[in-house]
Amino acid sequence: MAINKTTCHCGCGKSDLRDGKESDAKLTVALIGNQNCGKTTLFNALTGANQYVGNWPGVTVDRVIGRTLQQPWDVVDLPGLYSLSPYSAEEIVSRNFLLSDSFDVILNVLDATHLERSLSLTLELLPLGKPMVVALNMMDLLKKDRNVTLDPAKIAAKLGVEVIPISASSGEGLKELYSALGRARQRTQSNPAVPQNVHDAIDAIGALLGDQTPAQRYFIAKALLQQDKVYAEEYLTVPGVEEAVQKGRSLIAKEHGLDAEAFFPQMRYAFIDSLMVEALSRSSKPLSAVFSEKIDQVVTNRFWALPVFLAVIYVIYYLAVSTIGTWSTDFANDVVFGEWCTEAAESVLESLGAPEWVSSMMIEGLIGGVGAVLGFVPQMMVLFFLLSILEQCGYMTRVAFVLDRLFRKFGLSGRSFIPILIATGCAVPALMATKTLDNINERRLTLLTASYLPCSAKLPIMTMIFVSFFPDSVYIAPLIYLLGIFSIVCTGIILKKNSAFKEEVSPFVMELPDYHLPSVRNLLLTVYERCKAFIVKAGTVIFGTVMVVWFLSRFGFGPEGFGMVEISDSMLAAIGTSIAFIFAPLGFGTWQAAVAVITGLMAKENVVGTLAVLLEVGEDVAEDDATLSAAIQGAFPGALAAFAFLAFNLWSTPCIAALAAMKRQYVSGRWFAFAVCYMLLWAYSLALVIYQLGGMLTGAVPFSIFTIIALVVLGAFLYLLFRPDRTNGVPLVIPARTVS
Amino acid sequence: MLHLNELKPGQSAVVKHVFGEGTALRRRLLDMGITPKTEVKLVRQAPLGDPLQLEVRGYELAMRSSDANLVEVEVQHGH
Repeated sequence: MAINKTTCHCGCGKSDLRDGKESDAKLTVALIGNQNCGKTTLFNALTGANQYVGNWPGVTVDRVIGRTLQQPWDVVDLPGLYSLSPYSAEEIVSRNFLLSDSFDVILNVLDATHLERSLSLTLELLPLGKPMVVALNMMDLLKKDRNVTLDPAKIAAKLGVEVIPISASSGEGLKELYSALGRARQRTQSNPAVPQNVHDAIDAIGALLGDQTPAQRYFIAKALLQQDKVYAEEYLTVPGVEEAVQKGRSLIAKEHGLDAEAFFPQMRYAFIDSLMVEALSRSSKPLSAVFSEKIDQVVTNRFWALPVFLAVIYVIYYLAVSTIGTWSTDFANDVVFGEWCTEAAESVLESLGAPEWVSSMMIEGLIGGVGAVLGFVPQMMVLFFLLSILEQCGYMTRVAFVLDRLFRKFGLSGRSFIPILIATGCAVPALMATKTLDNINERRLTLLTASYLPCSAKLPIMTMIFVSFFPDSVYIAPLIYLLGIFSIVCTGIILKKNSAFKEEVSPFVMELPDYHLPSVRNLLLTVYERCKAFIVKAGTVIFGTVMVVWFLSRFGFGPEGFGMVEISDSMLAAIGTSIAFIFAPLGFGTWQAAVAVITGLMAKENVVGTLAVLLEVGEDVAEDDATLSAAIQGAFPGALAAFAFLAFNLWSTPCIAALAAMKRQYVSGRWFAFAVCYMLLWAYSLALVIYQLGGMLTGAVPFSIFTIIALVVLGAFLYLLFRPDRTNGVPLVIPARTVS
Repeated sequence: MLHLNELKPGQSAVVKHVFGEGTALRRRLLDMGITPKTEVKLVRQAPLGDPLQLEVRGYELAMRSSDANLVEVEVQHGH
């Protein structure tokens, strides 16, 4: 830490003088606390919108860094944690960071209304020996509560660090927090919860560990005593360490009657109990807890929970998909990009005398393609706003609680329901909404399956095929949705057995936080951060792809050599012709269908328009137009082939905008590639089985090698679906009593 | 021997032992404050019977019934 003081460059020098203390010019603050303790609110209050989201090296955990508004300090927002055990990526990145030299002071946020649980983490941080300040958040709630009085000074005395009462949501106490952070100095390591003989045992192990700092040695030695698997591999081979660990464990067992894993938490909570007796007096439960209990009597009630959930979902769906969200997106797409931008660009280009290919590129490629993506932003804003309310008021954890039993059967979480439902409107905001899933396995599966129920852009394809081939059928539309649900459930069951989807996560032991009103500032910041991330990342990917496909569909070798041509002479048509054979086993091996599939990847809305152009019906026909129907009937050999075409379009990868959102959420390129391949394979297999086996049963398709392949595919599917689940690694749920 | 998941909704008990040594789950339960001698109340079950909503050390906690089976409890008389 730069102890040398310099002038402050932010114009706050006066307050330094008034405090009579020097302030460090540059400070890196590690912000840490439990989930639901108001850590994010405090982070937002300290840093405003100056936040940078990245990733911790090697893992898909967000690394958020912000610059404080009043000082030139960086705040690193560590994941919300309950302890520093080695069982999730969040815990491991956090403790590695805390053991490093990359920061100057720890800012530990506690929830004053749930002190006991919050303090357990504090007691794990004290032995790190770093300068540390404790922020006692939600003090405003506590002050209003006559049943409870809390003395922060007594906590400070017991812990040996400064304790600052604050209210992150109202900004109360932030000034004091700033100055406490500025004067936080090196302190000695302390571990008040542990008796001397255990200290000695830890030090005995630590002495063998080599050239780390004392704090690292202490932490690693304590972790080894608790059979920490991360350090066990590395250090148990060091001569003498294993013996010292065994000695320490038997000492704890003998003197305290507990195994070491139980001993340390037990000691922490015993210390907390004695601290609470001194610092806190309460005549009954805190008001906030009483209030939450009352709400939960309805919201998590055995009979009311599901109706309440459905009502909430209905309101969200109604606002984000049926009304405001769609109006704003339609307005953005049809008016802002469809008329204003297009007309403005046309007149500018015309006045400049730009050649035709330039104006086509600008209008069809740039405005048409990138505009289609940006058009989703208003809808996403509405949706994120509503979801943030649910998250921040505490309802989202109740959703996971209520639906857990049902969804975990196929590897998803109760919270997956929300993205899946939103995807019936549009997959782009749905995929972005998977951020609310904190279990990485469930998030990966939800990302893959969320677009399996047809979104609104896929409806015209359905209408087109229905009108042409199944005009009077009432069962075909429900069948599509059933196949969508079938795809989600089967994909979940097949993939959750795979070891790749068994990444170790914190077990489902989840706090149900007290309900409270979300702050508008937090809501808006969340919406801003999520939309910004989408616009930047999705915008760049989409821009490139849109340009390539535009170029391929507008250029080709015409009668006058290479140049702008009709789509039927374009390079895209050539590509369609060359890949059409791939779709032949599915019954639609024509170049027109292949091109429609490709343009469908850009946006599913394109499928009908492309087919209309390629079948020479004209561009602007409705999907239920009679001429189009006749042309479509001619283009497919039969209803089964048309159905297979529909199935491939519905269950292969979603449109490019959704893919960009998906890539952003997967973070890892390999996972994204896997998801794309899986979806293509799933859609191809489904279409193959429908066409070949459906055809065999009805006699419409002659028996061929592909019939056998389809049977093999079906067999493989059934095997994958019903094969036993072999759990690798450490099971998360173990049968009780067999151990011990 | 009584386990946490065998309590009736509304019933309180005191933790006697947490089984499952060496597992992430046990460590998590202990870290969350389910340590021996702590009082735990089963508030209610989720609509589908699982998971469970518990009250521990003044806060609400959700966990699956199969996980709660790791916790041995004792109902205190007079509670």
